[in-house]
Amino acid sequence: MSEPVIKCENVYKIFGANSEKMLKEANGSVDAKTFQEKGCIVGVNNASFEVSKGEMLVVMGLSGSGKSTLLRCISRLTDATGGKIFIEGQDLLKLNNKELIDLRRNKMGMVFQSFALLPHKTVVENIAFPLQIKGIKTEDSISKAMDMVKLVGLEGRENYFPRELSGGQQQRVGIARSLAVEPDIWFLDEPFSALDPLIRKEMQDEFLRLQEKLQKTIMFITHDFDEALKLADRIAIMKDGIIEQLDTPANIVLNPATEYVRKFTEEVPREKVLLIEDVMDKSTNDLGNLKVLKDETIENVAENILTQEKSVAVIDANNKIVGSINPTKIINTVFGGRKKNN
Amino acid sequence: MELLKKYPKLFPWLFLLAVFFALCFAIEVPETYKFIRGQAEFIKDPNQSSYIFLGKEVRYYAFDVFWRLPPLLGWLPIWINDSLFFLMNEWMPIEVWNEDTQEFKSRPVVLQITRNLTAFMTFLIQLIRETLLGGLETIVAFSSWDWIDANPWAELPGLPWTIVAAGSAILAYKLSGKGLAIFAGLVMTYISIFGQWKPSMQTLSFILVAAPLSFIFGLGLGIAAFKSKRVEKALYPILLVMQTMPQYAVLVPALVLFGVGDHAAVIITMIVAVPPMILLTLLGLRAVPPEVIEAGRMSGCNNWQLMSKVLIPTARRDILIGVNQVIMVCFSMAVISAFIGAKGLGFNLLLALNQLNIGLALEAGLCISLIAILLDKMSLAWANKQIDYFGNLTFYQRNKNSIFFGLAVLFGIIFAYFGSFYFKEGYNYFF
Repeated sequence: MSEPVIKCENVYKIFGANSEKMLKEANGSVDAKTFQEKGCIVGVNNASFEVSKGEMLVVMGLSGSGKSTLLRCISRLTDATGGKIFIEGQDLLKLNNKELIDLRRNKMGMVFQSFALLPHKTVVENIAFPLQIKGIKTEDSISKAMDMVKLVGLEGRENYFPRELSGGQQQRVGIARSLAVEPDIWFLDEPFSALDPLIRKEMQDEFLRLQEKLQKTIMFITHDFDEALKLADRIAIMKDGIIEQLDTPANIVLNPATEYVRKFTEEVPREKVLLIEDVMDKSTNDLGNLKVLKDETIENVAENILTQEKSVAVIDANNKIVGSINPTKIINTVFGGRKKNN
Repeated sequence: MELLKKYPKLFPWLFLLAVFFALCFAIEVPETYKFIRGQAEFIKDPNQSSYIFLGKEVRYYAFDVFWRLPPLLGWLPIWINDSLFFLMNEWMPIEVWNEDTQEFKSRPVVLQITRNLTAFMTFLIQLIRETLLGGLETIVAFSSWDWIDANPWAELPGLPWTIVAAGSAILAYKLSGKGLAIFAGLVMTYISIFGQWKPSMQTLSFILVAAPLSFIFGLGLGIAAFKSKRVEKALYPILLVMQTMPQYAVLVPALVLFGVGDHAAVIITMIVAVPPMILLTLLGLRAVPPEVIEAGRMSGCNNWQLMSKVLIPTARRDILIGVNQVIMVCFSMAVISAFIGAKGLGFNLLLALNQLNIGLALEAGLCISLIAILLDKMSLAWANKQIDYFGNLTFYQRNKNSIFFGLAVLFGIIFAYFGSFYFKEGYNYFF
């Protein structure tokens, strides 16, 4: 596999005076409480992970968990206090100002929770803004921006001002702006949190459609676990600046690493998240006639499987049997192992 | 003692109190300024007590100081006066080349600096004023009186009022639209019909210098204060004093430092108009959401682009209020500075006040408010102006404003030229 696009090694971000000195003295074991007593706040605590090309990493955590801080460290909107961050092999923290600006102009795009559009510019001017900053001629940047307007489905509104658009439309503009320079890396900081649930679902689908088309490397921040499950290739769950678990959605639901993660997974409708592939057993000889695709969610095929008495064959796209699943397993997966509340 | 231990901050206060009373009893008014203390210095009141301090007798009313402090620092204004005059007239003389007498002359450095500043301001004002009203000083500044004598064609008259009115209407049309254009034309016509043209243009030239200068300084200092906490902390007390200082109190030092005339008025106006501009700039920049700044940074802005393309436009509303304030202050100062020799409507107003001439006062006041409203609307429209990227405009559409202005200049000059044949002597409607 090729080099990871984003690579973090022991990244720390500590706010407060003397944070660097204190980090050195802590010698690798940062305890948030002792730091707080000395007047420092730990934003990100020893984060290490990699994001490979075309992958979507969703960072999930409640407010104050340091997820936005982590994103800002990686985009270097704030400087990390310790650790190393590599963007396509370049050491981010060693870049000088000019190289950093170059990197942002060509490789990074970012979407913000509150849209962060420029109020004095129209939709198309907002989208063309990063291009114009780059020094591209006005006509070229505007025509490029018009393509982006079409991509996010805002034709006919290109001369509106942000204040004349609804929240969902504004965020479309924000997305189009972040994509205008055709970045390789796409940062999204709670992009759909300020939207109402219906629009949010619509935007998530839109987002998945875009990602299928564009195949960017994505870091997506959210506080909504359902959203994370829906979108992610991998999820990182953060608490108090520490990454509690970093794994695929299925693994997080099935094997929560800590008590904190387990609490999130309790309420999750597993049949919607898990694929047959995630829960299937090895292939046996005693199989029924029904065959199910391994990429189906449990929800879609559960009815069929549960009416069978024997195990059901699981096939891949080439119609080859790769495993089996029996009805009891389905019932166990969906209903078993939950904490008894009453 | 327990109390002091509990509140250690009381120590400096007690210390200050002690120092204060020590000073009250110890300070002897200097010999030269004794008259301020009045007769008490010379005739000893039987109620007065006295003590010897450094060989001198210090008299005081024993308990009176607790009710009514004697003016121990009453000599300070005189001292300030003296030191300012010393600064202006004696301190650090330097050799300066005098163009008129062709020789070196010794001049105090402060005087030289203020006179250079003055000359610059005067030049700016004269440039606009002579464009509007005619005159020679600007041309002379670039050439000499001899050259003017040799080339009498250079003695151009000012722009005819027709051109100024048409120009302002076209500018207003370009900035905003028909409504403002009609208003601009009417204002200019009104001014010239009611015979206030000359003082109005004098006031206008004063404001066209003072307002942009105040705007630039205010914006610059506001940005500096936004960028550096230290600058802000240093500016804040100065701003407080500048804002609360009565405008008449600023007149006197400006008079001493910069002399009499429009240039001194410009400087006072700047002193008064810059603080609100700074504060509103700072307020506006502070109110820019951090995510917008981050969005700008992620778009790859360098510091200059971030300031000019993201921060200032986003803070536009507050900055515009600042511009509005600057223009309003400029007009109010245009009146007040008539006291130190600024020409224009303010001077007429001062005259009207002295003569109790209600008609003249009303007319001058109306002219001031009309110009003020016009400038305010125009600056507002300018800041709100949008560029249309999608117009595939023809040459005529793109340049129609310039074409119309060119036509206005042409016809204005032709009218004025022929007008000057009809009205040979004195009053000419077209100039």
